[in-house]
Order: sequence, then structure tokens, then C-alpha cells
Amino acid sequence: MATEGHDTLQRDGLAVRKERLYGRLLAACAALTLLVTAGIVLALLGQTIVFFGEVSIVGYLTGTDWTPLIGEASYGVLPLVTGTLLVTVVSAVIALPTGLAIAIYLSEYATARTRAVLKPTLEILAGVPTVIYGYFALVYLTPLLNEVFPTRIGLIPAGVPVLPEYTFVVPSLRTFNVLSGGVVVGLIIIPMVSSISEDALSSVPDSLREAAYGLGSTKFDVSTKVVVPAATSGIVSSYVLALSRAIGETMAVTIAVGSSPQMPDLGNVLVNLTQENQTITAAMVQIAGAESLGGVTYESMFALGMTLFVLTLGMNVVAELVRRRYREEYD
Amino acid sequence: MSQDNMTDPEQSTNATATVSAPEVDTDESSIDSTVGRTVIETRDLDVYYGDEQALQEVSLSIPERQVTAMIGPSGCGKSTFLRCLNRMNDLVETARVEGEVLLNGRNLYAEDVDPVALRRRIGMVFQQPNPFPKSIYENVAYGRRVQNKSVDDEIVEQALRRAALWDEVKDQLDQSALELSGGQQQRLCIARAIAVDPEVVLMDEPASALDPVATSKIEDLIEELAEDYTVVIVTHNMQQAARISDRTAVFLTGGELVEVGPTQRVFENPDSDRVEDYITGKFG
Amino acid sequence: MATDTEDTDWLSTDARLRWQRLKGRLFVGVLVLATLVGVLALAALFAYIGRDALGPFGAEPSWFLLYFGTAVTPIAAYTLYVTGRLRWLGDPHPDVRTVNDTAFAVVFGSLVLGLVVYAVATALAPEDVAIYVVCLSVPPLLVRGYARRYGETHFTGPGTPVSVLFGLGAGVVVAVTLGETLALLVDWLLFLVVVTLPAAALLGSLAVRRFSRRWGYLTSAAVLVLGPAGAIGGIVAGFDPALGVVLASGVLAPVGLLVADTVAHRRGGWPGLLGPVVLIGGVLVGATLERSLGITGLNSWLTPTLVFDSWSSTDPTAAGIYPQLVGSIIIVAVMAVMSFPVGVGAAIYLEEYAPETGWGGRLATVLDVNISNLAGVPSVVYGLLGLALFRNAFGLAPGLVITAGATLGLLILPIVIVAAQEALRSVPDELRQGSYGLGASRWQTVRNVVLPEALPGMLTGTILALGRAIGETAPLVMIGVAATRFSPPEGLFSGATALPLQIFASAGNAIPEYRTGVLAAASLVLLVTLLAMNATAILVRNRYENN
Repeated sequence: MATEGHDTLQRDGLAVRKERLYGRLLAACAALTLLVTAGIVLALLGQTIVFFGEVSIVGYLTGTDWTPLIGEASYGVLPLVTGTLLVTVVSAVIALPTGLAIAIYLSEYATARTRAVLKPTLEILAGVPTVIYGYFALVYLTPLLNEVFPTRIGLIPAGVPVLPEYTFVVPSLRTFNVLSGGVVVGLIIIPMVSSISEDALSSVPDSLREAAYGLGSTKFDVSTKVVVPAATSGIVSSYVLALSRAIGETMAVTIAVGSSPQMPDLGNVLVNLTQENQTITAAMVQIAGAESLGGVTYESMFALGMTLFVLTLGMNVVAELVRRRYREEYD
Repeated sequence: MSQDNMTDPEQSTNATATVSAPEVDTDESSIDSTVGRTVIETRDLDVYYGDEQALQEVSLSIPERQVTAMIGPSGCGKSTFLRCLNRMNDLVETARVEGEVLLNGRNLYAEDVDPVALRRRIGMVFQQPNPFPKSIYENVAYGRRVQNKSVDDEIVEQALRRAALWDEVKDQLDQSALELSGGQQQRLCIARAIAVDPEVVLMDEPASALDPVATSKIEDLIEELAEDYTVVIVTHNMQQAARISDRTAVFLTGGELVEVGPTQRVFENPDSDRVEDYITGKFG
Repeated sequence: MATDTEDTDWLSTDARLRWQRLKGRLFVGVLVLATLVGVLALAALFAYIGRDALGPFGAEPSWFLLYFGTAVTPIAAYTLYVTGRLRWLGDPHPDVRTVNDTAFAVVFGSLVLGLVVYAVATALAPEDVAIYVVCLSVPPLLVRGYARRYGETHFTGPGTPVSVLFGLGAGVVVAVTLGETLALLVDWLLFLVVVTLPAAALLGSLAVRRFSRRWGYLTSAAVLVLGPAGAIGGIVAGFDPALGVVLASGVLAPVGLLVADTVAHRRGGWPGLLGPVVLIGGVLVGATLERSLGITGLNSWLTPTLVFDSWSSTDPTAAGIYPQLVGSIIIVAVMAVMSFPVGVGAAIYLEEYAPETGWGGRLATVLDVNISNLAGVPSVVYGLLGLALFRNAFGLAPGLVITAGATLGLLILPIVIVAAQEALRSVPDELRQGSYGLGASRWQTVRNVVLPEALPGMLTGTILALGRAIGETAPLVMIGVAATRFSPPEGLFSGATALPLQIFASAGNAIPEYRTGVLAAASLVLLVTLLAMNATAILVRNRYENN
């Protein structure tokens, strides 16, 4: 076949220049993400530095009073941290075992049909707006739970020699309480745990399972002694990520847990669950809603944001490191 | 643009020590007067993927309007060689190419050569048929469109005719190409490759994914195509090479070009013992 | 799913194995129980909210019977027939299923789209919307037409987006100069431009492809006639003629085209068209009978007042969320415009252009890591970013639509990028190789081969991300969006309002009916919107995966 001319093996200069332009535009889009991170860091850092010019870091990190909006403002972050911790622990107790159990079920036991029903359900569970979860906790869950509380458990009855009588008392739940908030946050993060763990479990190659079966194991043995341990890095990673999400959860805890930060009662631990508290995120929302632009209170919001950002970023990095470092490589 | 290739030595030398006698094969083209001018010539072509060498100083000429086949056991660099001819290896980041590939005397690896433009002169058909998820018409027209060339129904028809596909699809040009059978899809890929008027058509095991009936149709097609285009085909099927090619190049392990010459001679009376062993099936 | 062990008789007598088997069953029981926790929690959520929002216990039993008879039974029977399970009625024609799916999609899709366009355009000022519709569509259409006519691609390629930008600028100019004059026009005339003209163009081009050029012109002409006819119908029937225009040319016309297309190309599938008729008709019949027979219906808080009126903090029965609904939709639209192009661009760069080795490769890895970190940043922090950026740095007033849209757009950007990356990765490499082999450049390959293949996946991921963002409240609070507004936003620079924010703000309302009635209904609306968006995303994914 005759060709037009054996001259240039070049394209039209304009075409080449257009190509280069497109490549640069696309790279710019990608670079924008770096700008976003830079923006977040700068925004937080800027005001945080100003804040720590007026409030001592030590006072911030160790103070047990968080009252930015009342009279003589105090900026101790500890009550917020413990509040967040309480909520997160409750959510972890609910979500981590449940999520893993769901993951094991989906990966090892469920039929394709069950999976086809369960997975969308979990996606919806994850997709429900967190305001609605908060509203659900406040209006429906707390009254429901109050059917169970208050409880009195007589641990040591009267009449036993030597030991004094001791009754374990858990008061009824307040309107705003840690337990409802924690339960709801747990619901929010269950899908995260289950989906990431399920990915980890599914990626364990079948050859491991078959080897175990060949040695006479039951399905229970295979699942608990072979598959789950093999997927440990993925599961742990999912836990850390879910906890990071729980720490960052805002609206559900703002509505359900309330706005009175307090240090935990270390005597009767369970009482803490029934009382109102405040998380870091809820405190930020409270300050934002108070519409005072400028001043130490405004800056404290950014300091809290910085604390939160560092916490969640740290956890996400740890999760990724765990996933990478302990990942068993399967060919 | 004449190229004196009558005395071009077509030899492959092994950089490392050779075990058997030097496998130097002088070009038989002075004896075989039907060999036309050289369209593509490689000189000492070395290819490395990272630290691994895939081709060793391959020098060979490909004559115009003939079917040149590359045969050899799998993994010996035939496809790598083919992909050097149209610089598809550029798409692999770890690939490093040394040596020259000349198209009508111009080194394709020179600084001033644009690989995209070059691929408009050298077309390629792949092992797995890979039609685009578009209509049959749009598949054939694709190459011309991206090259800013005119597209009309006549050109599409001509390409499909040349690929022996027109009669089967002429009423369904708007249908998706993915609805065709494997053999038809491969002929469609050939049609779209020739629709842009290339000088050379490279084919990487074009029939290996197809059933025997489709394979024989492709083989007939290749022989026809050689009347208008230069065809370079890689195949692991020796009988196929023997059937359809005019010249055969034998690659053996490590990317070494061991022998090249007219097909009949290479198969019936190879110069190298290793080639003879391979052809008679002692290994491979 | 791995294989299980066989059960042979002589083993089962072994007590230890019996214990092991029991353990196994207990284990599965625990797993199922855990799974049920999640499912039950979701069910409880919907049940409680549904109960309070819809008040089903306030309805007479005969109400349920009525709708069961007029709506539920017919649609159930119809569905059974369409899926081929009513053997005694005979097997349906194979086309019926596809026609039925398309019919539902077209009817409800165009209905929702039409109502959304009507609501948003009315809120934003129809003359502005009309101006932008014209200015943003005419220049690119001209460029494309030129390209097709003269077969030119060199300049018309980049020319198309450039013409859109030009149109944007032109739109601003025209809006400023002619805006007030055009506002004097009757609303429904403006809606002719907003809805009827584009519908005529789209349906016309669809008809050209499905039938012939002549039919294309006829279809366009028919739509152009339907528009004013709808206005007249509205005036006659006593509702807003602009709504009539939208319904006639935006809903009736596509349905009509669908019917014509079915009759012409898939005649055997015509029973599929009856699906929406059975459903809507059943509900309407039920409603009419309910009224005429005087049956007490639901004690529902999900009333027209809720959906179409504005808020009241003191009277629960007068509280409505219309401004918030429209506000949320507008914010979602702004979000989509801001995050989709940039997100797709970044994903294309990372997947198709970025080198894998050397310094470029390391930069690409940094970008990837950065994006996954951004995805894990809590949404409040994005709110702080929006606050610092838009209020402090740019000096905008608090809580504007553009601020809200941009902040939430940044929030979902990492999600959009990751979804787009996955969609691009799923395009088989052979297609790229084939394109390169034909002498296409990288951008040509991406634009002509890779992107079309990956687009459905990108859209699915983006719609899911938008669904998540529609429920986001924290960033909106941080940037100072007002909790309650009494009218929908009027433009990009007017105060924003959003449904989840309203829910948040009123969760503490002292009057109990708010907590158990109004908020439940508002939450239900939000949930339904979210489910609809998720369903759309999944439909898009399924439709293109099957193709």
C-alpha cells in the first residue's frame, strides 16, 4: 500500500503542544489535593498558634475544665478527651466484635443470596445521615434503654458476715447521655469494620482453607484458627480506621451526648455512661454555633480541630502501617 | 529511497560465549530474487526489562510486501522484538532499548521521531482480539479519526473488504463490535489496522486465541494482505509459520536470533543445529 | 466460599466430634446474631421514624385494605407477571422486562427531574436560569456542529470546553444587563426556554437515532407545541402554568416518545408500559376512594405542608421544609460541579499519566497517600477549612451557597477521586494497547476509549458520594449556615439552607410534636432522598455493567 510520503515521523506541532497542555492541566487537578491538605494544615495551625499565645499549652492539655462560653473561660481539654474516649469505647464494644462477626459470616458462611441482601443493607446503615442517628438516639434510643435502667444489682446481700452489703447501682439515663451516643456511633462504624475486615478475610487464599480441611478441621476451626489469624493485619487496620472515624464523628454525639463536659467518675465507672458529656467534635460545633467571630474562644475551636486532626491522622497512618507491615503476602 | 540490502549480513551474534559453531547466516536474498527492498531493518537491537535482557543484539531485515514470521519457544523475545518495531515498548517503564530500528532507512529511536506518529505508519494486531466497545463502523474509523484523516463509508467498506469481513457485517455496521465472534473480532481488528493505510502490519500471535476454523480464515487473510502490506507475524505455531510466511526468523531462549531466511529453507534445511532441534520438536 | 467436610457415620458417634460440631453451630449462631444486630438496628431506625412520621396506627384497618386492594395487589400481580412467575397467564414476551424497566425509569426519572428543575428554577429566578441554559448550551452546540459538518477536530476538541467557559462569561454579562428586563416576562415563558427547548433538542436527537431524521424534526416540533399547551392546561386547571410547561414537555413528552419507540421497535413488550400506570393509577384510585368513602387515613406528618411550606418554630402543623429541600438540592448541584471535573481530572492523571518510577513515581505515591489521608479527615475539620478559607481569607459572608457547596465539594473530592481511579483501573489494558497501536496519543486514548468505559463507574461513585454529602451537617454548622431560613436560596451568593441542618437545629425544640412528628417526617424525607440517590447510582452501575 503506497503511503503519502516518507517524510516526517512527527505529528503536527499543535497536536503535540495540546497534548502537553492537557497533561499539565490534569497534573494541576491532582496537585490541587496537595493544596487542600496544605490549606487544612495552615488553617488549623494559624489559629492554633494564636490560641497558644494566649492560653498555655500545658493548661490546655492538662486542664480539667472546659468552659469557653461561660463567664471566666477555661480551656482545659481533658474533659473533652475523656468524653470522646468514653463514647469511642462504647462504640468499640459494640462495633468491633459485631463488625468482625459480620465479616466472618459474609466471607465464610453466607450464601450468595444472603450476601446480596446483607451488603446493601450495610451500605444503607453506613449511609444514613449522622444527624438522623443523633436524633434517633435522643428521641428513641434513650427512652428505650431507660426501660432497662436504672438497675440495682445486689452483689453482696445483707447478712453475709464480714463483708458489708453492696448493691451495684446504675442510675437511669439522662436525656443526654454517653451510652446512647456511643451505641449509635457504634452502629455508624459497624459497616466500616465489616467491609474492610471482609475484604481482608476474602483475600486469604482458598489454598489455606483447603489445607486445613484436608487435615480434618471443622469449619469453625478453619475460620477461627486459620482464616482470621491470616487476615489479622487487615482486621486490626479496620479497627483502627473505624475508631478514627468514631473519634471524628460529630453530629450524632452533639445531639445525643450533649454539651456538658465533665471528667469521668472513676469510682462507679458505669455512671459515666448515664450522664451527659461532651466530645471534642461537639465542643467545636457548640463554639461555631455561638457565632462569636474572633477572640480566644474562636481560636480554641481551631485548637480543638488541630487536636482532632492530629489524632485521626495519626490513627489513619498507624492503620495503614499495620496493614502494610504485617500483611502476609500471598502470591 | 533505495536501500542496498543485497549484501546485508543477517546474523545474530551472541554477546556471551556460544556453545555451538558460530551461527552466522548470510543473507540468502542474493539467491532468492523475489525478495524486495527492505522496509524495516534492525541493527544490534538489545532490550532490557530492568536488569533482565530480553533481546540480544538482534539484527535482521524485513522485506517489503512479504510475510515474515518470527518463531521460537515462548519467552524467547519474539513479542518483545515485534513491539520494538512500533515502539510499543515505550509504554513499559522498565524497558530499555539499545540499537537501531530503521524504517526505510530512518532510525525510529532517534530523538526527532514521535512514537505516536510512527505508529501511524506501522500498525499492530494483538493476540487477544481487542475491539473497542463501539460500533463496527466506529472501530474501523477510529484510527483514521485519531490521525485526523477523512472518514467515509467507502473507506470503511474497503477496509472491511480487505479484511474479508464485509459480507458478514455489512448490514450491522452500527451494532456493537463486541457482539461478533472471536474470529470476526480479530478480522475487525485487522480491518481497523489497515484502514489507516500503514506500511507495515505487525501481528502478535493473531490466531492463537481462535478456533481452527477462524484460524484458517485469518491465515488466508494474512496471505492476501501481503499483496498490499508488509506483514510481520509472531507465532508459536511452527506449522502456521511454514504455511503462510515467506521468510522466517527463529528466536531461541534469551532473545537470541539464531537463524533467518526463506521459510522453505529454514524449515527443510536449517543451518543451525539448534534450529533443527527446535523444528523437529526436540525441545520447545 | 470454601468447601466443607463430609459427614460420615462412624465419625459422628465420637463424642468429641459431636462437641466440635455443636461448637461450630453455636459459632454460626453467634455470627448470625451479630449480623442481625446490624439489620435490626437499621430496621428499628426506619420503624421508629416511620411510625412517628407516617402515623400508621392512626389509620383505620379499612384504609390498609383499600390501598392493598387498589395499589398493592395489582402491582404485585403485575410484577409477578413481568418476571414470568405467573405461569397460568402465559410467559411474557422477552421484551416486556426491558420495556418495563425503561418505563419506570423514564416515568419516575422525568417526574423527579422535572419537579426538581421546577423547584430550583423557581427559587433561583427563572430568568437567570433561562439565560444560563441558553448561554451554556448554544456555544458548545455550535462548536460541535461545526466539527461534525467540517470534520474538524484539531481546534474543536479543546474548543468545546472553552466555549462553555465563554458561555459562562456571556451568561454573567447577559444576566446583569438583561436580567431585570427578562424578569418582567411571565414565568411560564421562561420555563419554555429552560425545559421545553432542551427537551425538544434532546428528544429530537434521540428520535433521529431511533427512527429517522424526519421523525426527529417531528418530535422536536411536537415537544415545542406541548410546552405552551402545558401552560394553557395549567391555567385552565388552576395550577401554576410554569409547572404545566414542565410536566407537559419534561414528563409527558419523554413518556410519549417511549411509547412510540416501544410500539415501533419492541411491540411485543408493550405490557411493560403498563407498570407505572398500574402503580400510579392504583394509588390515585385509592386516594379518590379514600376521600369519597371518608376512611380515616394515616396520622401522617408527611404532609404537603411539610414538603411545600416553610418552617415555623412554634406551630408544628405549619412547619415545612421546602426551602431546606431546595437548598440541599442546590448545594448538591454546586458540589457536583466543583468536585466531579477536578476529581476525574486528578484520577486520570494518577492512573494514566503519572510515572511509576523515579521522582515522578514518588510524587505520584505521595499524591495517592495524601488523598487517602484526606478521605479520613473528619468532616468538622473540613468545616474549619471552609471557615478559614471562605470567611477569613476571601471575606465572604457566613453561610453562602457557594461556600457550602465548595466546602462540601472539597469534602467529597477524595472520595470522587478514589472512585474514579477504581473505574479507570477496571478498564482492560488491551483497549489502551489497541488504541496506541493505531497511532493514538495518550489523551486521545483516554478521551476516546478509556473514559467512555470508565464513566459509568465514575458516575456511580460520585452519586454515592453526593448522597453521603447531602446528609453532612457539621461542615455547614462550622461555616455558619443559618439554621432556619424561610425561603429557598436565590443564587450562589445568597444564604444557604439545608435539610439536615434544620433537623439538627430543631432536635432540641421544646414542643414534643416537633421531636416526634415534624422531625420524624423531615428525617424520613432526607432518608428517602438518600435512598433514591443510592438507588440511582446502583441502577447506573447495573445498567452499564450488563452492557
